[in-house]
Amino acid sequence: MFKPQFKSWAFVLIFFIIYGIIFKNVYMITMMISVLGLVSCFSSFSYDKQYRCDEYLAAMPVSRKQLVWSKYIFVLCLDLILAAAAFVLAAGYAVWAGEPLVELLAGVGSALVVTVLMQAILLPIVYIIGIDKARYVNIVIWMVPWVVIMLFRDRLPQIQKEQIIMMLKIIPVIAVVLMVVSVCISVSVFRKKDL
Amino acid sequence: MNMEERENNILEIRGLTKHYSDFTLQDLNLELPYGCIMGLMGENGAGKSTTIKAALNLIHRDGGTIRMFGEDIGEDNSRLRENIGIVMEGLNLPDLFKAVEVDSMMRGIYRNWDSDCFYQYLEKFHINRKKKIKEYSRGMKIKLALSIALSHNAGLLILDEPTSGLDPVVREEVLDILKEFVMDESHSVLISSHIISDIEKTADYAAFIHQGRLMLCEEKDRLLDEYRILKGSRSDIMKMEADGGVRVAGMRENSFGAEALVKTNSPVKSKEGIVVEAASLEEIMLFLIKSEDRSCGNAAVY
Repeated sequence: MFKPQFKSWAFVLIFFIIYGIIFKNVYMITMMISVLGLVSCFSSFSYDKQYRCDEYLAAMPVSRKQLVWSKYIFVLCLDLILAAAAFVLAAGYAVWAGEPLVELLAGVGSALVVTVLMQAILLPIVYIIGIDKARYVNIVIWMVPWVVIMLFRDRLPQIQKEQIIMMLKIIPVIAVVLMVVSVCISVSVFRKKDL
Repeated sequence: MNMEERENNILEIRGLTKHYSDFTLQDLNLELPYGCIMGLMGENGAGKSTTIKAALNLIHRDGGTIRMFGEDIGEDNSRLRENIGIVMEGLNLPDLFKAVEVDSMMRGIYRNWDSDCFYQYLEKFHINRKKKIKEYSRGMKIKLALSIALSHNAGLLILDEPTSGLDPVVREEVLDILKEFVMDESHSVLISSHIISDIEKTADYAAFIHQGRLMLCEEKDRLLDEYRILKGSRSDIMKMEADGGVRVAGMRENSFGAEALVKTNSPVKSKEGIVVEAASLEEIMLFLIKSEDRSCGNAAVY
């Protein structure tokens, strides 16, 4: 079902590879993980809504908890596939450009964790308000803080290198905890929903 | 479970109530015996799909109980759903799937999934297993949905408007499959449709739902025996009712005279000025609905 999606991902990847080579900036590839991870997450819910799969599957010997869990596992698997693709590209770039590999791989790992964090927040919102409204909420909850930060970036305190390293160690734990909480909320919401 | 031990009804709905902001399904009672087909009829928005969704636990009830195969249905009772074959309006699967992917998916869902049986049904229905679902016609999609419903040893088929939008040939095929299914007396079918003629051809029991209320639920043949259409003048029809033997359930008048739906326990003979005709399920439903609307003060032009 996601074969057309993989084709469009391939085009996006090719674009970022060319971009990375021309502008010597491979970090766009790591950013791509977040973007495609969120896009594929929304796409899967859109497909479910378009084909009314949830209704059909919920009438089969599949519990609502299993439906939610399968969605989360599916989304995480897609994230890992994207991260693996970015890892291969980043590694290839590092070898070609002679750039430090560890830094690039840390960028891939960070992007993956940020994607998981964002999905942990967004997925319950999709279950609560539906995919159509959730797209707008998604824009608001990520764009607004970004705009605020960009507007006031000169007044914000500088983040020190040690603080960044500490965040890199803590954020994966936060992401895992948030994901667990997210699943519990989504299961609770979906169980009470009329399909 | 042998025949003596199981209950007589494969599906029992008691006091089913569901409130929406603009619609209420009120106190619905239905019993579907083993070995029977029940047709759930009503106009669009009457509550047929709400009833079916409640039976499949897709919506939460505000009141009432539903039992299937002698057990209360519940979200965690997924074991019960192993025995239910479902056909929703259309085929609710991604249209890039092919038959082999459907088979693979269902094998992971149903414990009793029978791939051989599934592919035999595809052969029987002339469904090309190499095509994607999006390349199928509507009739083929419904037949694929039926193949899925019939390939995991289900005892109860629940179909929500399966023949809607199908041509008469395919509709006939679908209905024949249902009749074949209930030849095994441990099987039953609950089918909702606004195409009354399909129900009349196939069902053993007919249930009318109108504006969220069950107006009738009886054996189809008994309904057709009990009701007649009288055509004549209003006064002649009312005189016939006053003489006893018939009870007027609904009437409509036009410039040519009156037509009345009457209920009777004995054969009604034509008299001078009155013609007696058999009533179809559709006519029974239309008369009862119009009579109900008139008694509720809704606009009903005769």
